[in-house]
Amino acid sequence: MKNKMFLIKTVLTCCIALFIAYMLINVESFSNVDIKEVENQIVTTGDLGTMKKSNNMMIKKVFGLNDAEYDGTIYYKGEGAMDVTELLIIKLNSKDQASSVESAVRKRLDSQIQNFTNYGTNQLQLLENSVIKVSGNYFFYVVSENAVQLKDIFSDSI
Amino acid sequence: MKSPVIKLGALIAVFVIAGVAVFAYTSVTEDKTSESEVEKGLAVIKELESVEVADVEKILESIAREKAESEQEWNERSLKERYENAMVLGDSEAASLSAYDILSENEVAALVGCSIEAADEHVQAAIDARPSVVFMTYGKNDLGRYGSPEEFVDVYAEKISTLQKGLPDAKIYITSIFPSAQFVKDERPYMANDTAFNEALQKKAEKMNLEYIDCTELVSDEYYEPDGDHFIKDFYELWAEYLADTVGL
Repeated sequence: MKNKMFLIKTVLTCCIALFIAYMLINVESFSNVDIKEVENQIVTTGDLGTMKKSNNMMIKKVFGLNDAEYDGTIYYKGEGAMDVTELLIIKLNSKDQASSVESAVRKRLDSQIQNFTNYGTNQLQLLENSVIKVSGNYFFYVVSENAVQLKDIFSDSI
Repeated sequence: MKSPVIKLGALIAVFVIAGVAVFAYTSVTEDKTSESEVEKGLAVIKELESVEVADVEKILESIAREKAESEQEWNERSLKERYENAMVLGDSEAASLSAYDILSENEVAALVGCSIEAADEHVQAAIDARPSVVFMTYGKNDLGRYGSPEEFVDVYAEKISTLQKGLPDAKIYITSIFPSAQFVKDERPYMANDTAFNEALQKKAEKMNLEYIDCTELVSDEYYEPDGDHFIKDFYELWAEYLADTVGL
């Protein structure tokens, strides 16, 4: 009887430990990092190329997203109509917002690809190599020659 | 000695509490919306609906002129200020005006790669915005699409007519198509159609009693981007100033 109880206790304890470990690894934990800190990391350690900081009105115009609905937004864009580079980071209020943001960004990306299909190959290549990443309560999108570098800086900063 | 059942129960309780704690850690807050603020905004919009935009613009312009301490100050307004009651419609050339922040976003309705056939959305945007001056700057993306310049200007005329119906009091100007650099014309011979297309545009504008503005003399090799089709920022500033000076914005 004693041995049986010991076995049950051991198995249950292992189950609890495995369950907690699983939850901590697989549930996307929400980041408490301020979006300004994320921006600071990217601006100071990343190569933004020709991108300059844009405003919330542009987020509405370009993506159709209302920045007031989110915890914070950052948008950088290349200068000139032919410069397709851009960087969008959104700190979501709810993980439910991720799919609508991603949908809006993909719509923008598809539109850009369509517009530049008959232009030089440089812009098209950048667009096709763009990065979209959802990480907990953060959304990240970049079109840049340094897309992977900027994505890595973003991931490390949150 | 404690009952084994109690010990088992305690373990299960720890299990449940741990699960709840992890879920609670990942929960987030909901946003808030103030219904009363939305109602206030709607009330203001309804009031403004009854006012004629053209009348308001005239009043605002005369007030601004009075406030300017001198004619010089009036003439030294920024391009964005000068274009407050104007709008530029077009393709990547026009899009560059807002992309380089030379003009405000609401002063430009344009899309990279846009042909005159696809200009309906911009025309509607202009009708909705109700500017008193509209510049139509299409054509660069049409040079290889039509069998003749006349076919091109016939489509252009349709768009102008739609714009005129929607904005009967606005002054509409047709601007010339900018030439590409010679190496572009060598690579893509249809890009050399710009001269013929511009001549056709000028004739059509005259027939429709509209002013045609020839901007081709502004172009020189120093202004081209490496692609030979587009220009550097300085050129677009020059172009915007030239248009504003020509029509007296």
